[in-house]
Amino acid sequence: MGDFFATIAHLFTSPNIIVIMFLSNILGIVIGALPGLTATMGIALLTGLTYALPRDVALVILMNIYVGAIYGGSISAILLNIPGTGSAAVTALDGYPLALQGKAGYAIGMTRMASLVGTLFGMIMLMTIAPQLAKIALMFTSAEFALLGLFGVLIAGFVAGEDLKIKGWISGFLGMLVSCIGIDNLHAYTRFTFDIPMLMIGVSFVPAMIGVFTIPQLLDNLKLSLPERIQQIGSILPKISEFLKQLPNVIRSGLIGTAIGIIPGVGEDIGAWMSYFAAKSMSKDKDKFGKGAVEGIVAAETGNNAAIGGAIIPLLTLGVPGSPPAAVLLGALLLHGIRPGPMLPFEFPGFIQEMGGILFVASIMLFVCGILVARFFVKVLDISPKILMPIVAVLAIMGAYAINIRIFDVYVMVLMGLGYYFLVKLKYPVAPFVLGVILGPMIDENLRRTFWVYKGFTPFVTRPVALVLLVATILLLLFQFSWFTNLFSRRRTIR
Amino acid sequence: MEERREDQDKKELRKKDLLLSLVLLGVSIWTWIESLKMVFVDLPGVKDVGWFVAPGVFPLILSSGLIVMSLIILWIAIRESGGIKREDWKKWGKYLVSDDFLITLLEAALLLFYIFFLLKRIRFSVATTIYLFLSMLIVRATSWYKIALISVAVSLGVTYLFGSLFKIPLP
Repeated sequence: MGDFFATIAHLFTSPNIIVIMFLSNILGIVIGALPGLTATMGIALLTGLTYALPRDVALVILMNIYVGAIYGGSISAILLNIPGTGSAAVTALDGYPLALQGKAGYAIGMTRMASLVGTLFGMIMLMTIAPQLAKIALMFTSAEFALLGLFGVLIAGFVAGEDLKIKGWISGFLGMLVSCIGIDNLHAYTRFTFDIPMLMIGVSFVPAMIGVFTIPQLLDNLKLSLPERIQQIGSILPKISEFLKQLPNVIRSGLIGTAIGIIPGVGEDIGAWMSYFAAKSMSKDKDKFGKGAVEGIVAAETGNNAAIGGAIIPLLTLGVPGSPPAAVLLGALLLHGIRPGPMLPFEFPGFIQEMGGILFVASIMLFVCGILVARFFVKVLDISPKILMPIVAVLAIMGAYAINIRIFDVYVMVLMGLGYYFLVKLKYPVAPFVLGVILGPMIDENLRRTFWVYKGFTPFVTRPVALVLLVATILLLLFQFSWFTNLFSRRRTIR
Repeated sequence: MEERREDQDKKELRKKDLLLSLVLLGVSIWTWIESLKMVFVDLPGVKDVGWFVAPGVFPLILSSGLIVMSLIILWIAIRESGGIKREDWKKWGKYLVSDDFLITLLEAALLLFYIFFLLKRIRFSVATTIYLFLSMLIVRATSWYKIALISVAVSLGVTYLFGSLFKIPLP
């Protein structure tokens, strides 16, 4: 633990480092808030730019970018209903309705607190039980990954559906179907490409996400006559007592987020969805979810930020990144001569504690920077949508383009957005579609790999974790049928 | 009164659901057929292990799920809306020529023009200025000179942010 406190003391007593942390954290928040610029991309961009810097300074910058960007994604989700990152799509469900009620500052304040606590939660886990947790995560095989992904998409459809739940699932299935476009990962077989060479690479989730969130929003809001200014009430610094009311929700979401973050390749998105689902299921006021429930945004933000610490656990102890941004971070570590894995504690004693210290300081810095930045971001709501929306469209186009420096991604973004416009009009939720595009390849690959390795379907029922996930998925589906729910209510009445 | 209006809105939504479910059904049947073609292919693993490792299996499962769900939506829509009548077509036809829809159409067309034409032919900053100017002008966001000023400022700002600061080659 000595290295942990030494790192914190070193970071807080060096004025140069404080300035660097401050600037990189703000840059991270801005990157996260801009539609299309993700945490992954932010770390990737800065990895190159920080190559010449000393290792500790470079890591401080990258971790601040990581933490800042994951939080920043929630700002545009709350203010514009356009999530800056995939994981912030969950925050938009309740964050945007809160902004429409004039509570944008309050929502941003609560998400900032949740982000801080979530990150600290993940950090504590990283510091205390990292190797043990990583061993559990390694017990996940392809069968569990496939079922976990499917469960995640179904959960997203279940909680995001405003009209019929089935519409959420249709969105999720459409997203997974779109993810099948291109060369498949197991056989390198082309699917649904229509002989268009650009389609062979497939549809990246970032352009798809930007398109389906931005274009319907753009076309709808542009027509609005100048709306009355929504009076923003509530401070951007919520009362501690208000946040403390959310403590059970925060602890539960922190645990879920960290646990999901540890599982290699799953990451912040499912962490946020699972936390949101758990919060909704446990809430006394379920009807409020989707209409501006504070519990919803707190659960989502705690969940996705806790996943940061969770994702770093397998990265450092096994050399297996827990999320896409963690994968880029792995590249950055290798670039600076650090080889994560079981030998890390011997080759670089105290490095895990050092990372814990950096994560701690980055989360404190996020709290400070978040307060400063939020004041300016909330002003966005004062701009007329007729002016704001075309500007957002340009930013979205650049965001879609910048991820692969490919104009084809912009075409995908716009065409998908225009297509989805009609679905949004008929109350088909957007978020499950995005999660479907993200998780589709993982589900497809792991499902077929299970069939291939085990030469059949048996592992889905013989492996305990897989069986639990399978039963949970089937129950989730069955609970949508009235005859099934009636079975339970009848029994309860008899008792 | 409000309850009655909600009922009307729901009925209207179900009528549109009916149409969309038919479109979804058509698309899912097409993807199901295409996926089936990818199930029985001559590939390693497929021959030795079985058809269930083929590249078409996952899209086939998804398409089957979509077919079932589209049919459920269709059934709900018919049950709750009572079907589409001639008056509904007339009402939708009127909407297609309304100002509301025409502005949406114009903005969508302008976006496509910007991406498929302007960005290919002229510099990013100029193309963006033109798009922003026209887009705001269509909806009469403010006076034309303010629109021009905002368009130029935003275009230069975005060009600097992505081109110079983030070093991203602009389209």
